[in-house]
Amino acid sequence: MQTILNAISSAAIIAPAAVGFTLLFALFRFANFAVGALMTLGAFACWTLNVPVGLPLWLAAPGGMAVAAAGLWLADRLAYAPLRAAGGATLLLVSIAVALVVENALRLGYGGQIRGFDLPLSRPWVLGPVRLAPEQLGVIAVSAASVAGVMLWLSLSRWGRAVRAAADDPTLAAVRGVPVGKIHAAGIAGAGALVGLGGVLAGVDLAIEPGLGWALIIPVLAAAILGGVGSPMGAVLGALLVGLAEEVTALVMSPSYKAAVGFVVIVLALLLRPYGLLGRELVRK
Amino acid sequence: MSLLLQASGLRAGYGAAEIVHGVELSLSAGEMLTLIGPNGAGKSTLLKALAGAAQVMGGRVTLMGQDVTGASAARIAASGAAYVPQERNIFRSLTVEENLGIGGWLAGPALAERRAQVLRLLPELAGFSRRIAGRLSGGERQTLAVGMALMVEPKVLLVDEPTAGLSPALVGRLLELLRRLADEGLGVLIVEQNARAALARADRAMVLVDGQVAAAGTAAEIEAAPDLGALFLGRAA
Repeated sequence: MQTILNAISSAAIIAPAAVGFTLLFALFRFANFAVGALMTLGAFACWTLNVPVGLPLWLAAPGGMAVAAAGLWLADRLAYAPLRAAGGATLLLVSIAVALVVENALRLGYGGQIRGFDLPLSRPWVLGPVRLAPEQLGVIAVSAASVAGVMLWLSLSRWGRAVRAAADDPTLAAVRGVPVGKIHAAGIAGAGALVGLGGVLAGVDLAIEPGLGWALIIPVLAAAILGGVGSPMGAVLGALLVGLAEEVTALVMSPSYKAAVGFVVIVLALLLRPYGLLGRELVRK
Repeated sequence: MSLLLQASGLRAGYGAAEIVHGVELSLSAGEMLTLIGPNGAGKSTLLKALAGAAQVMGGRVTLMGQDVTGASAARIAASGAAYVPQERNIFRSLTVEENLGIGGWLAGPALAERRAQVLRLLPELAGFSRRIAGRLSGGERQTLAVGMALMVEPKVLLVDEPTAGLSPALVGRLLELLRRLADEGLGVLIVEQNARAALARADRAMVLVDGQVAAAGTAAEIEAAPDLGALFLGRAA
Protein backbone atom coordinates (compact mmCIF):
# COMPACT_ATOMS: atom_id res chain seq x y z
CA MET A 1 0.00 0.00 0.00
CA GLN A 2 2.77 2.42 0.95
CA THR A 3 4.69 1.30 -2.14
CA ILE A 4 1.72 2.12 -4.38
CA LEU A 5 1.34 5.52 -2.76
CA ASN A 6 5.04 6.24 -3.21
CA ALA A 7 4.80 5.08 -6.82
CA ILE A 8 1.91 7.49 -7.44
CA SER A 9 3.97 10.18 -5.78
CA SER A 10 6.96 9.51 -8.07
CA ALA A 11 4.66 9.34 -11.08
CA ALA A 12 3.11 12.68 -10.15
CA ILE A 13 6.52 14.33 -10.36
CA ILE A 14 7.41 13.00 -13.81
CA ALA A 15 3.96 12.90 -15.47
CA PRO A 16 3.58 16.61 -16.42
CA ALA A 17 7.11 16.75 -17.87
CA ALA A 18 6.55 13.43 -19.69
CA VAL A 19 3.36 14.83 -21.23
CA GLY A 20 5.29 17.99 -22.19
CA PHE A 21 8.08 15.90 -23.71
CA THR A 22 5.65 13.76 -25.69
CA LEU A 23 3.74 16.81 -26.98
CA LEU A 24 7.00 18.36 -28.15
CA PHE A 25 7.91 15.12 -29.86
CA ALA A 26 4.52 14.89 -31.54
CA LEU A 27 4.76 18.44 -32.87
CA PHE A 28 8.43 18.66 -33.76
CA ARG A 29 9.47 15.01 -34.21
CA PHE A 30 12.58 14.93 -32.09
CA ALA A 31 13.47 13.80 -28.58
CA ASN A 32 14.13 17.02 -26.70
CA PHE A 33 16.73 16.14 -24.07
CA ALA A 34 16.71 19.72 -22.82
CA VAL A 35 13.43 18.92 -21.02
CA GLY A 36 15.38 17.88 -17.90
CA ALA A 37 17.38 21.12 -17.84
CA LEU A 38 14.21 23.15 -18.46
CA MET A 39 12.63 21.42 -15.45
CA THR A 40 15.64 22.57 -13.42
CA LEU A 41 15.21 26.08 -14.84
CA GLY A 42 11.56 26.07 -13.74
CA ALA A 43 12.57 24.84 -10.28
CA PHE A 44 15.19 27.59 -9.89
CA ALA A 45 12.83 30.31 -11.13
CA CYS A 46 10.21 29.11 -8.67
CA TRP A 47 12.82 28.96 -5.86
CA THR A 48 13.86 32.56 -6.66
CA LEU A 49 10.29 33.78 -6.31
CA ASN A 50 9.66 31.57 -3.29
CA VAL A 51 12.78 32.07 -1.14
CA PRO A 52 14.56 35.37 -1.93
CA VAL A 53 11.40 37.19 -3.07
CA GLY A 54 9.25 35.50 -0.46
CA LEU A 55 6.13 34.59 -2.43
CA PRO A 56 4.19 31.52 -1.28
CA LEU A 57 4.89 28.43 -3.35
CA TRP A 58 1.50 28.41 -5.06
CA LEU A 59 2.22 31.91 -6.39
CA ALA A 60 5.83 31.19 -7.26
CA ALA A 61 5.01 28.02 -9.22
CA PRO A 62 3.31 29.81 -12.17
CA GLY A 63 6.43 31.97 -12.40
CA GLY A 64 8.57 28.85 -12.69
CA MET A 65 6.25 27.53 -15.40
CA ALA A 66 6.42 30.81 -17.32
CA VAL A 67 10.23 30.95 -17.15
CA ALA A 68 10.55 27.35 -18.37
CA ALA A 69 8.15 28.11 -21.25
CA ALA A 70 10.15 31.23 -22.12
CA GLY A 71 13.37 29.21 -21.97
CA LEU A 72 11.92 26.62 -24.33
CA TRP A 73 10.69 29.34 -26.68
CA LEU A 74 14.15 30.95 -26.72
CA ALA A 75 15.84 27.59 -27.35
CA ASP A 76 13.40 27.01 -30.20
CA ARG A 77 14.07 30.40 -31.80
CA LEU A 78 17.86 30.26 -31.42
CA ALA A 79 18.64 26.58 -31.87
CA TYR A 80 15.79 24.30 -32.97
CA ALA A 81 13.90 26.37 -35.56
CA PRO A 82 16.95 27.17 -37.72
CA LEU A 83 17.83 23.46 -37.77
CA ARG A 84 14.30 22.07 -38.23
CA ALA A 85 15.11 20.76 -41.71
CA ALA A 86 18.20 18.89 -40.47
CA GLY A 87 16.17 16.06 -38.94
CA GLY A 88 15.52 14.45 -35.59
CA ALA A 89 19.01 13.13 -34.87
CA THR A 90 20.60 16.56 -35.30
CA LEU A 91 17.94 18.21 -33.15
CA LEU A 92 18.42 15.60 -30.43
CA LEU A 93 22.13 16.46 -30.25
CA VAL A 94 21.33 20.17 -30.30
CA SER A 95 18.91 19.64 -27.42
CA ILE A 96 21.68 18.02 -25.36
CA ALA A 97 23.78 21.13 -26.06
CA VAL A 98 20.85 23.30 -24.96
CA ALA A 99 20.63 21.25 -21.76
CA LEU A 100 24.31 21.86 -21.03
CA VAL A 101 23.97 25.59 -21.73
CA VAL A 102 20.96 25.89 -19.38
CA GLU A 103 22.64 23.82 -16.67
CA ASN A 104 25.83 25.91 -16.79
CA ALA A 105 23.95 29.20 -16.94
CA LEU A 106 22.17 28.12 -13.74
CA ARG A 107 25.52 27.13 -12.17
CA LEU A 108 26.92 30.53 -13.12
CA GLY A 109 23.95 32.41 -11.71
CA TYR A 110 23.19 30.37 -8.60
CA GLY A 111 26.40 28.48 -7.81
CA GLY A 112 26.49 24.79 -7.13
CA GLN A 113 24.93 24.58 -3.69
CA ILE A 114 21.75 22.70 -2.93
CA ARG A 115 18.54 24.66 -2.39
CA GLY A 116 15.02 23.89 -1.30
CA PHE A 117 11.65 25.61 -1.31
CA ASP A 118 10.38 27.35 1.78
CA LEU A 119 7.72 24.86 2.83
CA PRO A 120 6.02 24.80 6.21
CA LEU A 121 7.24 21.88 8.31
CA SER A 122 4.47 19.38 8.59
CA ARG A 123 3.85 16.08 10.21
CA PRO A 124 2.85 13.27 7.80
CA TRP A 125 -0.64 11.89 8.16
CA VAL A 126 -0.73 8.29 9.28
CA LEU A 127 -3.66 6.29 7.97
CA GLY A 128 -3.26 2.73 9.19
CA PRO A 129 -0.18 1.33 7.47
CA VAL A 130 0.21 4.32 5.15
CA ARG A 131 2.12 7.53 5.77
CA LEU A 132 1.33 10.52 3.56
CA ALA A 133 3.01 13.92 3.80
CA PRO A 134 0.76 16.90 3.05
CA GLU A 135 3.16 18.18 0.37
CA GLN A 136 3.07 14.73 -1.24
CA LEU A 137 -0.70 15.02 -1.51
CA GLY A 138 -0.25 18.53 -2.93
CA VAL A 139 2.15 17.25 -5.61
CA ILE A 140 -0.24 14.45 -6.58
CA ALA A 141 -3.25 16.77 -6.73
CA VAL A 142 -1.52 19.49 -8.77
CA SER A 143 0.02 16.95 -11.15
CA ALA A 144 -3.26 15.10 -11.69
CA ALA A 145 -5.21 18.32 -12.22
CA SER A 146 -2.70 19.75 -14.70
CA VAL A 147 -2.42 16.55 -16.69
CA ALA A 148 -6.20 16.04 -16.74
CA GLY A 149 -6.65 19.66 -17.81
CA VAL A 150 -4.24 19.23 -20.71
CA MET A 151 -5.97 16.00 -21.81
CA LEU A 152 -9.38 17.62 -21.77
CA TRP A 153 -8.07 20.63 -23.64
CA LEU A 154 -6.49 18.42 -26.30
CA SER A 155 -9.60 16.36 -26.85
CA LEU A 156 -12.40 18.90 -26.41
CA SER A 157 -11.22 22.34 -27.42
CA ARG A 158 -10.91 23.64 -30.96
CA TRP A 159 -7.28 24.64 -30.48
CA GLY A 160 -6.41 21.44 -28.66
CA ARG A 161 -7.76 19.39 -31.55
CA ALA A 162 -5.79 21.57 -33.94
CA VAL A 163 -2.63 20.78 -31.94
CA ARG A 164 -3.32 17.07 -32.41
CA ALA A 165 -4.04 17.60 -36.11
CA ALA A 166 -0.82 19.57 -36.61
CA ALA A 167 1.08 16.82 -34.77
CA ASP A 168 -0.55 14.18 -36.97
CA ASP A 169 0.12 15.87 -40.32
CA PRO A 170 1.29 19.49 -40.43
CA THR A 171 1.09 19.71 -44.23
CA LEU A 172 -2.54 18.63 -44.35
CA ALA A 173 -3.36 20.89 -41.40
CA ALA A 174 -1.97 23.85 -43.37
CA VAL A 175 -3.97 22.83 -46.46
CA ARG A 176 -7.11 22.86 -44.31
CA GLY A 177 -6.30 26.41 -43.16
CA VAL A 178 -5.04 25.61 -39.64
CA PRO A 179 -2.39 28.21 -38.67
CA VAL A 180 0.38 25.69 -38.00
CA GLY A 181 2.89 28.34 -36.90
CA LYS A 182 0.54 29.57 -34.16
CA ILE A 183 -0.20 25.98 -33.16
CA HIS A 184 3.52 25.32 -32.77
CA ALA A 185 3.86 28.44 -30.61
CA ALA A 186 0.93 27.30 -28.46
CA GLY A 187 2.50 23.85 -28.19
CA ILE A 188 5.80 25.35 -27.01
CA ALA A 189 4.02 27.50 -24.43
CA GLY A 190 1.91 24.61 -23.13
CA ALA A 191 4.68 22.00 -23.12
CA GLY A 192 7.11 24.50 -21.59
CA ALA A 193 4.67 25.27 -18.80
CA LEU A 194 4.14 21.55 -18.11
CA VAL A 195 7.89 20.97 -18.03
CA GLY A 196 8.32 23.94 -15.67
CA LEU A 197 5.58 22.58 -13.45
CA GLY A 198 7.38 19.24 -13.46
CA GLY A 199 10.49 21.07 -12.22
CA VAL A 200 8.55 22.75 -9.42
CA LEU A 201 7.04 19.41 -8.35
CA ALA A 202 10.48 17.81 -8.44
CA GLY A 203 11.80 20.68 -6.32
CA VAL A 204 9.21 19.92 -3.63
CA ASP A 205 10.56 16.38 -3.33
CA LEU A 206 14.23 16.67 -4.30
CA ALA A 207 17.16 18.99 -3.67
CA ILE A 208 17.33 21.79 -6.25
CA GLU A 209 20.76 22.04 -7.86
CA PRO A 210 21.89 22.84 -11.43
CA GLY A 211 22.47 19.19 -12.39
CA LEU A 212 18.99 18.10 -11.22
CA GLY A 213 17.78 17.75 -14.81
CA TRP A 214 20.02 14.77 -15.59
CA ALA A 215 18.39 12.73 -12.84
CA LEU A 216 14.93 13.72 -14.11
CA ILE A 217 15.28 13.31 -17.87
CA ILE A 218 15.74 9.51 -17.73
CA PRO A 219 12.47 8.67 -15.91
CA VAL A 220 10.65 11.31 -18.02
CA LEU A 221 12.01 9.76 -21.20
CA ALA A 222 11.24 6.25 -19.92
CA ALA A 223 7.63 7.24 -19.18
CA ALA A 224 7.18 8.80 -22.62
CA ILE A 225 8.75 5.85 -24.46
CA LEU A 226 6.90 3.23 -22.44
CA GLY A 227 3.58 4.97 -23.01
CA GLY A 228 4.25 5.49 -26.69
CA VAL A 229 6.03 8.66 -27.74
CA GLY A 230 3.52 11.22 -28.98
CA SER A 231 0.65 9.94 -26.86
CA PRO A 232 -0.09 12.16 -23.81
CA MET A 233 -2.31 9.50 -22.23
CA GLY A 234 0.48 7.00 -22.77
CA ALA A 235 2.95 9.33 -21.04
CA VAL A 236 0.74 9.38 -17.93
CA LEU A 237 0.40 5.62 -17.95
CA GLY A 238 4.15 5.34 -18.53
CA ALA A 239 4.83 7.67 -15.59
CA LEU A 240 2.72 5.47 -13.30
CA LEU A 241 4.52 2.32 -14.41
CA VAL A 242 7.98 3.91 -14.12
CA GLY A 243 7.06 5.19 -10.64
CA LEU A 244 5.92 1.72 -9.66
CA ALA A 245 9.06 0.10 -11.09
CA GLU A 246 11.24 2.55 -9.15
CA GLU A 247 9.46 1.90 -5.86
CA VAL A 248 9.33 -1.87 -6.27
CA THR A 249 13.05 -1.92 -7.07
CA ALA A 250 13.72 0.17 -3.97
CA LEU A 251 12.12 -2.63 -1.88
CA VAL A 252 14.67 -5.20 -2.99
CA MET A 253 17.71 -3.09 -3.87
CA SER A 254 19.51 -0.07 -2.53
CA PRO A 255 17.68 3.13 -3.56
CA SER A 256 20.94 4.32 -5.14
CA TYR A 257 20.06 2.04 -8.06
CA LYS A 258 16.81 3.94 -8.61
CA ALA A 259 18.40 5.92 -11.44
CA ALA A 260 19.05 2.71 -13.36
CA VAL A 261 15.36 1.72 -13.32
CA GLY A 262 14.49 4.31 -15.96
CA PHE A 263 17.21 2.98 -18.25
CA VAL A 264 16.01 -0.60 -17.79
CA VAL A 265 12.44 0.46 -18.60
CA ILE A 266 13.63 2.21 -21.77
CA VAL A 267 15.59 -0.84 -22.91
CA LEU A 268 12.73 -3.25 -22.19
CA ALA A 269 10.16 -1.01 -23.86
CA LEU A 270 12.29 -0.60 -26.98
CA LEU A 271 12.96 -4.35 -27.14
CA LEU A 272 9.45 -5.59 -26.47
CA ARG A 273 7.13 -2.83 -27.64
CA PRO A 274 8.96 -0.10 -29.58
CA TYR A 275 5.80 1.90 -30.22
CA GLY A 276 4.94 1.93 -26.53
CA LEU A 277 1.72 0.93 -24.83
CA LEU A 278 -0.53 3.50 -26.50
CA GLY A 279 1.71 4.62 -29.34
CA ARG A 280 1.29 3.98 -33.01
CA GLU A 281 3.79 3.56 -35.75
CA LEU A 282 4.90 6.94 -36.98
CA VAL A 283 4.77 7.08 -40.74
CA ARG A 284 7.72 9.02 -42.01
CA LYS A 285 8.65 9.66 -45.59
CA MET B 1 -21.98 28.65 -66.21
CA SER B 2 -19.70 31.00 -64.34
CA LEU B 3 -15.97 30.60 -64.65
CA LEU B 4 -14.43 29.58 -61.31
CA LEU B 5 -10.83 28.63 -61.95
CA GLN B 6 -8.55 29.61 -64.76
CA ALA B 7 -4.87 28.93 -65.41
CA SER B 8 -2.93 30.35 -68.32
CA GLY B 9 0.62 29.49 -69.29
CA LEU B 10 0.99 27.73 -65.95
CA ARG B 11 4.48 26.41 -65.25
CA ALA B 12 5.10 24.55 -62.01
CA GLY B 13 7.36 22.09 -60.25
CA TYR B 14 9.50 21.54 -57.18
CA GLY B 15 12.81 23.25 -56.41
CA ALA B 16 14.62 23.70 -59.71
CA ALA B 17 12.68 21.01 -61.58
CA GLU B 18 9.90 22.32 -63.81
CA ILE B 19 7.36 19.57 -64.38
CA VAL B 20 4.36 21.40 -65.81
CA HIS B 21 5.22 23.48 -68.88
CA GLY B 22 2.65 26.09 -69.85
CA VAL B 23 -0.82 24.63 -69.26
CA GLU B 24 -4.10 26.36 -70.14
CA LEU B 25 -7.06 25.26 -68.05
CA SER B 26 -10.49 26.51 -67.09
CA LEU B 27 -13.19 25.18 -64.83
CA SER B 28 -16.76 26.43 -64.47
CA ALA B 29 -19.43 25.95 -61.84
CA GLY B 30 -21.30 22.68 -62.18
CA GLU B 31 -18.55 21.17 -64.27
CA MET B 32 -16.45 18.06 -63.71
CA LEU B 33 -13.09 18.11 -65.46
CA THR B 34 -10.81 15.11 -65.38
CA LEU B 35 -7.07 15.14 -65.95
CA ILE B 36 -5.70 11.93 -67.40
CA GLY B 37 -2.34 10.88 -68.77
CA PRO B 38 0.50 8.45 -68.17
CA ASN B 39 2.38 8.22 -64.90
CA GLY B 40 4.84 11.06 -64.47
CA ALA B 41 2.98 13.36 -66.85
CA GLY B 42 2.67 16.04 -64.18
CA LYS B 43 -1.05 15.65 -63.40
CA SER B 44 -0.62 15.71 -59.64
CA THR B 45 1.93 18.52 -59.84
CA LEU B 46 -0.53 20.60 -61.88
CA LEU B 47 -3.25 20.01 -59.29
CA LYS B 48 -0.87 20.84 -56.43
CA ALA B 49 0.22 24.04 -58.17
CA LEU B 50 -3.44 25.09 -58.46
CA ALA B 51 -3.88 24.29 -54.73
CA GLY B 52 -0.76 26.17 -53.66
CA ALA B 53 1.03 22.97 -52.64
CA ALA B 54 3.63 23.02 -55.45
CA GLN B 55 5.75 25.88 -56.67
CA VAL B 56 4.28 28.04 -59.44
CA MET B 57 7.11 29.07 -61.77
CA GLY B 58 5.24 31.09 -64.31
CA GLY B 59 1.88 31.90 -65.81
CA ARG B 60 -1.23 33.04 -63.97
CA VAL B 61 -3.93 31.40 -61.86
CA THR B 62 -7.21 33.10 -61.05
CA LEU B 63 -9.87 31.84 -58.69
CA MET B 64 -13.24 33.49 -59.13
CA GLY B 65 -11.55 36.44 -60.79
CA GLN B 66 -9.01 36.86 -58.01
CA ASP B 67 -5.32 36.42 -58.84
CA VAL B 68 -3.96 33.58 -56.67
CA THR B 69 -0.75 32.90 -58.62
CA GLY B 70 1.80 31.51 -56.18
CA ALA B 71 -0.50 31.98 -53.16
CA SER B 72 -0.11 29.69 -50.13
CA ALA B 73 -2.24 26.59 -49.68
CA ALA B 74 -4.02 28.23 -46.76
CA ARG B 75 -4.90 31.34 -48.76
CA ILE B 76 -6.20 29.34 -51.70
CA ALA B 77 -8.26 27.22 -49.30
CA ALA B 78 -9.68 30.40 -47.77
CA SER B 79 -10.42 31.74 -51.26
CA GLY B 80 -12.74 28.84 -52.07
CA ALA B 81 -10.70 26.01 -53.61
CA ALA B 82 -10.41 22.89 -51.46
CA TYR B 83 -7.65 20.43 -52.24
CA VAL B 84 -7.88 16.72 -51.44
CA PRO B 85 -4.40 15.17 -51.57
CA GLN B 86 -3.96 11.63 -52.85
CA GLU B 87 -2.29 10.27 -49.75
CA ARG B 88 -2.17 11.47 -46.18
CA ASN B 89 -5.46 13.27 -46.71
CA ILE B 90 -6.98 12.59 -43.28
CA PHE B 91 -5.71 12.94 -39.70
CA ARG B 92 -5.28 9.29 -38.78
CA SER B 93 -5.15 9.73 -35.02
CA LEU B 94 -8.30 11.87 -34.81
CA THR B 95 -11.89 10.65 -34.93
CA VAL B 96 -13.99 11.18 -38.04
CA GLU B 97 -15.93 13.87 -36.19
CA GLU B 98 -12.72 15.65 -35.18
CA ASN B 99 -11.42 15.41 -38.75
CA LEU B 100 -14.52 17.20 -39.98
CA GLY B 101 -13.98 19.84 -37.31
CA ILE B 102 -10.43 20.51 -38.50
CA GLY B 103 -11.67 20.46 -42.09
CA GLY B 104 -14.03 23.24 -41.05
CA TRP B 105 -11.36 25.29 -39.28
CA LEU B 106 -11.96 28.18 -41.68
CA ALA B 107 -15.75 27.89 -41.37
CA GLY B 108 -15.63 29.58 -37.95
CA PRO B 109 -19.04 30.01 -36.34
CA ALA B 110 -20.78 28.29 -39.25
CA LEU B 111 -19.12 24.99 -38.27
CA ALA B 112 -22.23 23.19 -36.99
CA GLU B 113 -24.24 24.25 -40.02
CA ARG B 114 -21.47 23.10 -42.36
CA ARG B 115 -21.20 19.76 -40.59
CA ALA B 116 -24.93 19.18 -41.04
CA GLN B 117 -24.63 20.11 -44.71
CA VAL B 118 -21.68 17.74 -45.28
CA LEU B 119 -23.50 14.90 -43.50
CA ARG B 120 -26.49 15.53 -45.75
CA LEU B 121 -24.24 15.23 -48.83
CA LEU B 122 -22.30 12.26 -47.42
CA PRO B 123 -24.76 10.48 -45.11
CA GLU B 124 -22.43 7.47 -44.74
CA LEU B 125 -20.05 9.60 -42.64
CA ALA B 126 -22.66 9.88 -39.89
CA GLY B 127 -22.50 6.12 -39.44
CA PHE B 128 -18.89 6.15 -38.23
CA SER B 129 -18.39 9.65 -36.88
CA ARG B 130 -16.83 8.42 -33.62
CA ARG B 131 -14.33 6.02 -35.18
CA ILE B 132 -10.61 6.79 -35.32
CA ALA B 133 -9.90 7.82 -38.89
CA GLY B 134 -6.77 5.64 -39.13
CA ARG B 135 -8.98 2.54 -38.78
CA LEU B 136 -11.30 3.37 -41.68
CA SER B 137 -11.38 1.32 -44.88
CA GLY B 138 -10.03 2.83 -48.10
CA GLY B 139 -13.42 3.94 -49.38
CA GLU B 140 -14.50 5.38 -46.03
CA ARG B 141 -11.21 7.24 -45.81
CA GLN B 142 -11.62 8.86 -49.24
CA THR B 143 -15.20 9.82 -48.41
CA LEU B 144 -13.97 11.46 -45.22
CA ALA B 145 -11.21 13.27 -47.14
CA VAL B 146 -13.82 14.70 -49.53
CA GLY B 147 -16.09 15.51 -46.58
CA MET B 148 -13.30 17.45 -44.86
CA ALA B 149 -12.70 19.46 -48.01
CA LEU B 150 -16.41 20.26 -48.25
CA MET B 151 -16.51 21.65 -44.70
CA VAL B 152 -15.45 25.12 -45.86
CA GLU B 153 -18.19 25.25 -48.53
CA PRO B 154 -15.70 25.50 -51.39
CA LYS B 155 -16.63 26.53 -54.91
CA VAL B 156 -13.89 24.36 -56.40
CA LEU B 157 -12.76 20.86 -55.43
CA LEU B 158 -9.29 19.74 -56.50
CA VAL B 159 -9.11 15.98 -55.99
CA ASP B 160 -5.94 13.97 -56.57
CA GLU B 161 -6.52 10.32 -57.55
CA PRO B 162 -9.40 9.69 -55.14
CA THR B 163 -9.86 6.11 -56.30
CA ALA B 164 -6.27 4.89 -56.00
CA GLY B 165 -6.28 1.51 -54.29
CA LEU B 166 -10.08 1.17 -54.16
CA SER B 167 -12.10 -1.78 -55.42
CA PRO B 168 -13.92 -1.27 -58.77
CA ALA B 169 -17.29 -0.98 -57.02
CA LEU B 170 -15.97 1.77 -54.74
CA VAL B 171 -14.33 3.56 -57.67
CA GLY B 172 -17.74 3.94 -59.25
CA ARG B 173 -19.39 5.12 -56.05
CA LEU B 174 -16.75 7.74 -55.32
CA LEU B 175 -16.82 9.13 -58.86
CA GLU B 176 -20.64 9.23 -58.68
CA LEU B 177 -20.30 11.25 -55.50
CA LEU B 178 -18.00 13.76 -57.21
CA ARG B 179 -20.41 13.93 -60.18
CA ARG B 180 -23.25 14.67 -57.74
CA LEU B 181 -21.23 17.48 -56.16
CA ALA B 182 -20.64 18.98 -59.62
CA ASP B 183 -24.37 18.73 -60.27
CA GLU B 184 -24.94 20.70 -57.07
CA GLY B 185 -22.89 23.53 -58.57
CA LEU B 186 -19.29 22.89 -57.59
CA GLY B 187 -16.43 22.95 -60.04
CA VAL B 188 -14.71 19.56 -59.68
CA LEU B 189 -11.23 18.94 -61.06
CA ILE B 190 -9.93 15.41 -60.57
CA VAL B 191 -6.74 13.63 -61.47
CA GLU B 192 -7.68 10.05 -62.22
CA GLN B 193 -5.92 6.85 -63.21
CA ASN B 194 -9.17 5.01 -63.83
CA ALA B 195 -9.55 6.95 -67.07
CA ARG B 196 -12.60 5.14 -68.46
CA ALA B 197 -14.55 5.36 -65.23
CA ALA B 198 -13.70 9.04 -64.89
CA LEU B 199 -14.54 9.89 -68.52
CA ALA B 200 -17.90 8.21 -68.11
CA ARG B 201 -18.85 10.80 -65.46
CA ALA B 202 -16.87 13.91 -66.42
CA ASP B 203 -18.03 16.74 -68.66
CA ARG B 204 -14.63 17.50 -70.06
CA ALA B 205 -11.20 15.93 -70.03
CA MET B 206 -7.61 16.96 -70.57
CA VAL B 207 -4.78 14.60 -71.45
CA LEU B 208 -1.45 15.63 -70.01
CA VAL B 209 1.78 14.23 -71.46
CA ASP B 210 5.23 15.37 -70.32
CA GLY B 211 3.79 18.36 -68.53
CA GLN B 212 1.87 19.66 -71.56
CA VAL B 213 -1.71 19.38 -72.71
CA ALA B 214 -1.73 16.72 -75.44
CA ALA B 215 -5.48 16.86 -75.97
CA ALA B 216 -8.53 18.53 -74.48
CA GLY B 217 -12.21 18.27 -75.21
CA THR B 218 -15.47 16.85 -73.99
CA ALA B 219 -15.20 13.55 -72.20
CA ALA B 220 -16.89 11.82 -75.12
CA GLU B 221 -14.44 13.30 -77.65
CA ILE B 222 -11.44 12.21 -75.62
CA GLU B 223 -12.84 8.74 -75.12
CA ALA B 224 -13.49 8.42 -78.86
CA ALA B 225 -10.06 9.65 -79.99
CA PRO B 226 -8.41 6.50 -81.36
CA ASP B 227 -4.76 7.24 -80.71
CA LEU B 228 -5.37 8.52 -77.21
CA GLY B 229 -7.47 5.50 -76.45
CA ALA B 230 -4.66 3.22 -77.43
CA LEU B 231 -2.13 5.21 -75.48
CA PHE B 232 -3.81 5.85 -72.17
CA LEU B 233 -7.23 4.42 -71.74
CA GLY B 234 -6.17 0.82 -71.87
CA ARG B 235 -3.86 1.35 -68.95
CA ALA B 236 -5.16 0.80 -65.51
CA ALA B 237 -3.10 2.35 -62.74
